[in-house]
Amino acid sequence: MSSPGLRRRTPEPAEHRDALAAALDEVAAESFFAYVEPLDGDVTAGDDAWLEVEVGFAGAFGGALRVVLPEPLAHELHASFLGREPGRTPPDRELFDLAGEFGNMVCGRWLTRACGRRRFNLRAPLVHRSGPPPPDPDALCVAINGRPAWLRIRFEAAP
Amino acid sequence: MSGSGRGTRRPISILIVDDSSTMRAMLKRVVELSGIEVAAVHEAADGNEAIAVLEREPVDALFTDINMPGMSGIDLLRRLARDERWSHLLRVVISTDGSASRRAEAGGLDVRLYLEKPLRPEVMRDVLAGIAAAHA
Repeated sequence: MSSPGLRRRTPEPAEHRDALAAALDEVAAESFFAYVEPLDGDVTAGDDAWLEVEVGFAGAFGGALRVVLPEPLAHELHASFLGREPGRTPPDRELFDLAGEFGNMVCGRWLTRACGRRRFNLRAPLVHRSGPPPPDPDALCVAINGRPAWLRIRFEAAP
Repeated sequence: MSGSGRGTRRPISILIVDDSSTMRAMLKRVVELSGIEVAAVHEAADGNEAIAVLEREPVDALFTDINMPGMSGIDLLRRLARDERWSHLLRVVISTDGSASRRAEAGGLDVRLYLEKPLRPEVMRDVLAGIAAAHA
């Protein structure tokens, strides 16, 4: 049914940078009582362990959102999301689930704004421990509660 | 909405359906802190687990996510819409997908409220208060 004239264009990550930043701000503030600021310094600085989350999406366009954040930040977000005192180290199962839900919310909020009336589907988040995020000019690097975080959208080529 | 007598409050039973255990824990905590009298809070990780709970427990209100592995929230709502046994069930969606077409799809499946994640705890508390008042 498709013709070359109707072929969809694959978006560029830079086009969605501001919308992704706005989605992150909203999710951080509304559900995690956290604040997002521009990052002052190198996102890879420090020797914390890192968690990487990947949330795949399909709909008006397909691809995945990757979020990389240091484990101490994930601990803080876990405590604030559940209204618990900070300082407790949650079990990996809870920590990974929290990180996945955080990525899921950011991806969903961004897509809700980006897709307009069109629906989309999110795949279950994939979470694993990782090294620090790589330098990437297309990544959104911010500080959440003063700790670095790295977000990157990857679009699949439009059919 | 039949109560045991005029002015008598019947505690509500709730089912929370979400594949994230952290999200379920957060919602459960909001219920506990709301001060609203609740008979039971049941949990399920997807639509299949939700059906199993509904088959064995009395539930007044269902809060369900949309994107879940196994049976999705939309498939769960379709299943419930086909079965008279659950016609009384108040259905609320809590999802990251706030697209207009998804909202319209849910609206056609007897969903009373569609809440978008991220969800402020006070919004959930207000929704619970409304449901509890309807059962008074």
